[in-house]
Amino acid sequence: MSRRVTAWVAAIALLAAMLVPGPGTLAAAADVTFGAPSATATLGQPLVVTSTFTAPQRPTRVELLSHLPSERIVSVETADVATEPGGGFRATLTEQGHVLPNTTLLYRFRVTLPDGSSALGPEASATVTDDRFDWRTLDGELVRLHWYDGDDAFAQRAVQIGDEAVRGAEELLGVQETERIDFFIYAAEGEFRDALGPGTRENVGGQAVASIRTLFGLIRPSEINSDWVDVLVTHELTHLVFNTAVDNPYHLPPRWLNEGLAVFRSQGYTVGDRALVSQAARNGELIPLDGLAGLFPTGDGFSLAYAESASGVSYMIDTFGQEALVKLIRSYASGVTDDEAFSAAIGRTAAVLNDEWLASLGASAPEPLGPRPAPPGPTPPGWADVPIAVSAGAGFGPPRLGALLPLVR
Amino acid sequence: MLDSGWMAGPPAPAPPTRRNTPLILGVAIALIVAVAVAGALGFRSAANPGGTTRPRATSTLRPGSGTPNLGENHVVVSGQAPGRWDPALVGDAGSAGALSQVFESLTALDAANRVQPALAASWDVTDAGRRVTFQLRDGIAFSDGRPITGDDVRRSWLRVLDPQRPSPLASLLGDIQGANEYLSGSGSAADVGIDATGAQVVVRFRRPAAYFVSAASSPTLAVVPADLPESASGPLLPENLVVSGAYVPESQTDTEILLRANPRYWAGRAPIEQVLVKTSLDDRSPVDVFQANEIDYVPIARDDAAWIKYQRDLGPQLRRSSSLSVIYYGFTTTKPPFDSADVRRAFAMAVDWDRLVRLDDPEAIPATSLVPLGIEGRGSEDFSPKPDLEGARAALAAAGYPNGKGFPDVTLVSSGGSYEEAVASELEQVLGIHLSVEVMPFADYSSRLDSDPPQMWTLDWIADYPHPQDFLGLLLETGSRSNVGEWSNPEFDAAIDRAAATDDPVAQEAAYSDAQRVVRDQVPVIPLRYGDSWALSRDGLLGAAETGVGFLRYASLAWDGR
Repeated sequence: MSRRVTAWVAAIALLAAMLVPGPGTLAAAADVTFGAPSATATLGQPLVVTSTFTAPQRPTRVELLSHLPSERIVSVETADVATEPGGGFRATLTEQGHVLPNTTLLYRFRVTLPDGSSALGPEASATVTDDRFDWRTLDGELVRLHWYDGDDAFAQRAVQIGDEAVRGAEELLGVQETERIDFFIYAAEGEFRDALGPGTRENVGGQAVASIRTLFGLIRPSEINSDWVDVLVTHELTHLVFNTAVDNPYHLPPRWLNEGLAVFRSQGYTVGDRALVSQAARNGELIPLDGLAGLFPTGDGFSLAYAESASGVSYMIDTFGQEALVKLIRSYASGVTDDEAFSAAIGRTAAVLNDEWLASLGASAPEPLGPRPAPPGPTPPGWADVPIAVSAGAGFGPPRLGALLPLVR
Repeated sequence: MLDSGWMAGPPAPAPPTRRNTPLILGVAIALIVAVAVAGALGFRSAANPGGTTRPRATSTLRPGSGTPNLGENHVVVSGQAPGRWDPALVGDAGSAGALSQVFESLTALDAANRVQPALAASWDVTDAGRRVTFQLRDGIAFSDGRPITGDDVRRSWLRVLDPQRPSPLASLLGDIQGANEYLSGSGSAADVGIDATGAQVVVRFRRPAAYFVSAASSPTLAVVPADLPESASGPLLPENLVVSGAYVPESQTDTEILLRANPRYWAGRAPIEQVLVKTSLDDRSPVDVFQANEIDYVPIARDDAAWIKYQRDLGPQLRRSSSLSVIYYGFTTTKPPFDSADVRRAFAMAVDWDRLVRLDDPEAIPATSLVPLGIEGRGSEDFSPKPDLEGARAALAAAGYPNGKGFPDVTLVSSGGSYEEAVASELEQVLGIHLSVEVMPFADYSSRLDSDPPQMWTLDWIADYPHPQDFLGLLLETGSRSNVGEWSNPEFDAAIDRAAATDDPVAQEAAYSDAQRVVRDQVPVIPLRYGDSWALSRDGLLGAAETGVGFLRYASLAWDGR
């Protein structure tokens, strides 16, 4: 089976900040009264949030404040304001962008008056629904499955796999999940991609979104009884528990570590992955681990990136033991650098580990092929020969010639 | 009002780095999608952030209907559609980058950030720096053939100061005699020290301003025709737009802008006849688009660069640019609690800013000054605040808030940065205070900074000309329209005056250093990091190097061997 699993554990930085009025709140704002806010939140349609309010004057601005329950950063957007026929105003914000299903948004309006005072409306919540299907729901210990294709036995199996995957990851990483995890299973690729929205890479078969504690998976009817179910569920839930284990506002672990653990737990370091890695080592095409710290390659390099990630995790376990791997992962929660984390866990920096891992594969560290300076282009007549620098201290009188401003590279 | 320097606006279609990319999407949840999509990369990083900016539909633009007919001599680049087609009315780097291709200024920056003659053939700086005389090139003309004269320059620059509709970067002209008075409505255009006679433009300054030759390269000060249509104040390309620059815009859809070389450009027709600017990649990964040979130059995320540098095909086409930009935090110093220098010092000392930057990106360069590296005269002294947790707590106590007791809830507002959550966390842990964090779309954020600056904010500022004045003078001098935090300090102002008043580079650097010592002590701002960017550029494409102000110069592009 080709690699189809990926996850985006990257949390989104939206925080639930305190929404109490600031020191600028003055008396005038006390005269603002709000109606009950409401929202329509259906996949594929604009998200519309609205509320009526009265105010002694027309506000200078009306904003929608929104955030995810699990996050502290508040998103602020300017709302449209219209006068209501019977007096008062109506604030409306329409968001055209794609929003993932099962996203719950806490929101409220903020009205600012000409004197600078501001008033906050009541907070409400809305959850984006995907109403294209007749969803069925099955609760496990921690995992709640949402599916529309497949029988009860399939759902039972998926939930069982999910709960076991969470327990296993919890035990491994020494954390405990306490909040429910929703798992939406789509039965057709088009339906799955419509849920995830534009820009989803074509080889993505699953996605974990930790900030809304939701997994999305593609399991076609023909795959319901296959190993793919186990692989997908275990992989994505490992990401989610991994995110809990490393959560910090400063620095995320390298992606190869996250993906490598998810692959290793769901499939192990498979024969197929070993072959991919070995072939890349022979051909001098291995991407060093530091090249897999962020985004993964697209196209042909996609599967190799996952295979290398699994290889890296396998190497760490074989060389330093599982305990060291767990220590490494957990250390990120305290906001350490990669080198601090690796040095504390295995006594060597990430770069040294990378070299040793490559050596174990019979490969040497590849030389970067870029970045390279842009080849110079044509310049207007006179420019190349007569650079005129005007810089600090260029001073007065005729411009000085020839002084260059160095660029930092 | 955001004057001078360019705020890095919502970037063109490009991917975001994991934690350092301008992020701000509509509603909070839109960010969730962002993780699955390409990121955003900004000319500036005002919050260069961790999600993806999703270009909002510009409903009045006709949808793209496939790639337009392109001749053989063309290049396809990623870029941002200007928020307005009037260079006097834009204040973000993306818009400036677009308009700099179609409207020319008297001077220009080359790829090495050197000031070069553009519409002006030469200039003289006299009267101890209080007068600059520009001599325009002979025979220069707008794209419709009308000659470009000194009157066009004067009129274009007065538009920047128009008190009825001032440019967000009006402070670029703030040292010209009578400019501030005209801008504020207390003076007249006739009294502004810009005189034009034929092909000569004489600019008189209220204080020495030799830097102005460099400032004149700003796209804001580009020369526009007298009949620039009112519709240019909007985002839609006016019909038959007459330009002074290297390219004439032919068409615009919601996903692309087509430019054609201007045969009347002062330097002659540009080597590339057509430039197709992709203003949207339809949420596709920039790397995918590049690999599909659909684009020749596209900014990418730092996190993509990490693997691309080892990739055989793409690695040699990877480019990295350092921009003359700085990300910094600022305080509104006219309102409690940040009217207290002790409170500001407490915030500055409570965080290990260098570590914060390196945690986000080990290759990033933490700022040691408000003036980026690469700007001559910035000095080499480290003016950045250093962590001192006990000192921070003591400063907060001295301000009347021992252990944070009684400290009001304060809010940090940004347009979506990489560091806000970490900054808030550090400040809360060390000082025992509560800091809310709000994130706004860039346009709303810019407007908010103009009209009602938040208590604490952050900006990514890209130079519009390479000089310390563009950072220290414009961002912090008393009364500057770009002084968002409304900080005022006589000692600082005097140092800036001293810097402007000397023609001795050593003395000028010393004066700027004096000014920065005041900044370090009084903490109106906290410089965080300097900027850089990554891009993929097609093999054989020459001249695809961003200048320090974050632009490609399309007129300097060419295909090798064609």
